[in-house]
Amino acid sequence: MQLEGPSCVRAALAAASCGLLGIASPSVIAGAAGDATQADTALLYYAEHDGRVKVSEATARLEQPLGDGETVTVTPTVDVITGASPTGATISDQAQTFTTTDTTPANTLPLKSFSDRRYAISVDWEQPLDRLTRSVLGASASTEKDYNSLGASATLMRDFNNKLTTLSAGISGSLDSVEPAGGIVPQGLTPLSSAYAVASAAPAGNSDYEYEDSSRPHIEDALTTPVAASTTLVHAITTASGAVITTGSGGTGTAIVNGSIARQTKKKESVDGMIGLTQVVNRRTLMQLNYSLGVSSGYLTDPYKIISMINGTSGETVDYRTELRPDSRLRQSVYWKAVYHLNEDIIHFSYRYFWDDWGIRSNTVDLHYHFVLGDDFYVEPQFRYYTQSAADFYHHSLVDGAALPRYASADYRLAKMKSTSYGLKLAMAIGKDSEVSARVTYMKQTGNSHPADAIGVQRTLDLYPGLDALIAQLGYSFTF
Amino acid sequence: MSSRIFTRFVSVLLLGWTFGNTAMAAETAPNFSLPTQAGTLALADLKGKVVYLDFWASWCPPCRKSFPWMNEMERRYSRQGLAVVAVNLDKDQELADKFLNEVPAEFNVAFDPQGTVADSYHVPGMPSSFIIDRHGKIQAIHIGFREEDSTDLEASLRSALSR
Amino acid sequence: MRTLAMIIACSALLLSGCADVKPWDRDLLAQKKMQLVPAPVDNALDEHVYFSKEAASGGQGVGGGGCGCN
Repeated sequence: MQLEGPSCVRAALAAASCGLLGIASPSVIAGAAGDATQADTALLYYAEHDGRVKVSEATARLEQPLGDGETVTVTPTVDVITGASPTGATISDQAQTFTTTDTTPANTLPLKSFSDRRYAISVDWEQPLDRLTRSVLGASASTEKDYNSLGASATLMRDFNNKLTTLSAGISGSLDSVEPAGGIVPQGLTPLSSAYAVASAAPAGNSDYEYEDSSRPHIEDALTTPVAASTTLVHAITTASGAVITTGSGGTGTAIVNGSIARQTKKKESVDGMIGLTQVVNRRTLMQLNYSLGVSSGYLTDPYKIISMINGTSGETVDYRTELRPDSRLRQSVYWKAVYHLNEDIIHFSYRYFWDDWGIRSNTVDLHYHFVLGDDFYVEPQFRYYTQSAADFYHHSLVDGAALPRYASADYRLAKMKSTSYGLKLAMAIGKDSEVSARVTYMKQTGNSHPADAIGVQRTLDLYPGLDALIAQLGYSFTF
Repeated sequence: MSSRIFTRFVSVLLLGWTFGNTAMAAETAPNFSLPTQAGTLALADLKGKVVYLDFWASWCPPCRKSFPWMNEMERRYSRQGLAVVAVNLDKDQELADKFLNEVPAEFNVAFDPQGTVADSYHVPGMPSSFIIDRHGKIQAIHIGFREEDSTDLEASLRSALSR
Repeated sequence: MRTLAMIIACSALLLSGCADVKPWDRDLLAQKKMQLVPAPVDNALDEHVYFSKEAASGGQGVGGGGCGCN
């Protein structure tokens, strides 16, 4: 789940598995024509302003009826993500140096560049159990440089009231593992200079390996490159595989590696449940109401994000610490959707209220108007409005010297913010079973640029630079 | 407390709606008179024959699957006294015509756009089929059309034809 | 508790205001554009974007509606 650089790690805050809880195939509803495979393909290009994140994504949804309502749906996806994303450090009126190679000019939002590729696949198998009951079993997997995810889901749907009412219940689980680029999972809420201490599993020798110079918090770099004279390597490390890093102190030291060193990984688990009620209200109206509950536990922190420590009087940045989030999260949401058929046009409207034990409360309103223009052509304006409150442990920066909170993150996606999206989709039918479509969406995120607790020079800076993104999508659906 | 209310709510839902509409088995099939592609057809005209009465619409995917099977039944058993009557329930005649162009019918197709006949038969789902015996009584009601059910359906037809 | 009450109230409201739609009157509901998720790929792509850029996620459901056939 990356649209934000090294991956799903970014989505550590979205504890739902990277494969969503079974969005079941619509075959049960509209019914695939005969035994033909229905293919829905799309290419997506996502680009944020100011050289931030860019994503190119290709996906295909292949739905194969197996007879009598049984269906298998396979959805492979490939993403290429490049660009840069905010590190969480605040903007400053001074130039900032994070490592010897990583600096940011004054009055510029500190960003970190990345490049990654994500491969994902999900499979859903829908099976009618009897005339009124269906089950869907799903499995999903995704992989990228620093994140792997495996998920499974099961959903049961039962019709009542002459199929005017459908009750559904689903459960899904996922197991994710994070292996940050660089091989080290930093200590949370620790100054950058000491956050990357590595503990070895081997008993022999000293067990800590620290850098004085935090410009090289990467195992590979340490092991293959002679370190500069000014670097003090404090201890020696013997790893489980027998590799030995020789050290010196206060002088030249060369790190040698024989064999490989285990990179650090962290695990995360999620379990989600959902119950839903779908009701045909009248000939023209369909509604759905769902309640979802999810629990995530494990490593939910973003290992790449930091938070600035500022001087309590002047507001100048004096240090940086790694962020730290709780190791559990309980999420709930209530979702209501209504579909209404006018003469020819359709209105799709949904509202979701989300809340969790991190203090986040959010509202999402989504509206699509399906405008029929002739037999083969339609246009669909789309609007979405989203608001969220800040997580309890969100801070744009921390006061240096003050008592540290238990958890803290400056990730802009945990802040109080609003997001508005405007989109337009155009689609044209080609022949009986094909459709070509194009969709463009403009998304704008804004937050509190001048929070009340801004100190000193911070008052003159924009502490929530926001986000502008343009999303373009081309789609082609056909049967074969 | 809240979980009890919720359980009760769900049970009411289940009880209230698990038992769907009751069918009309063993009752006299209501008469009807509907336009077809070739004049008017009344159920009374078919007395003495076994009638396979099917209710369908162009927007119903399983209906599309049932047509080849109904054609096959018409071919096999019309000489033995089977009459297949497929009542179309499309509100727009054009959609029905388009469907029939793509999926030709060798049997009688009648048109009931207002759904009055469907109403009189308390049609429980789309598609639904009624096997009416030679005496005009409903012998069997079948909801939906699935490939796996076609052998059983054919067996019911043969049994009705043999009486 | 309050949330549960709200959900039950909404469900009751949903169900009480419902017309009895005959099986043959589900022509409009059978259309692809009338499904809860008419374009699953669009929906998945959108959810992916918003899930990556916001704190909230999920909520959408499965199944129901449509022509009610079979």
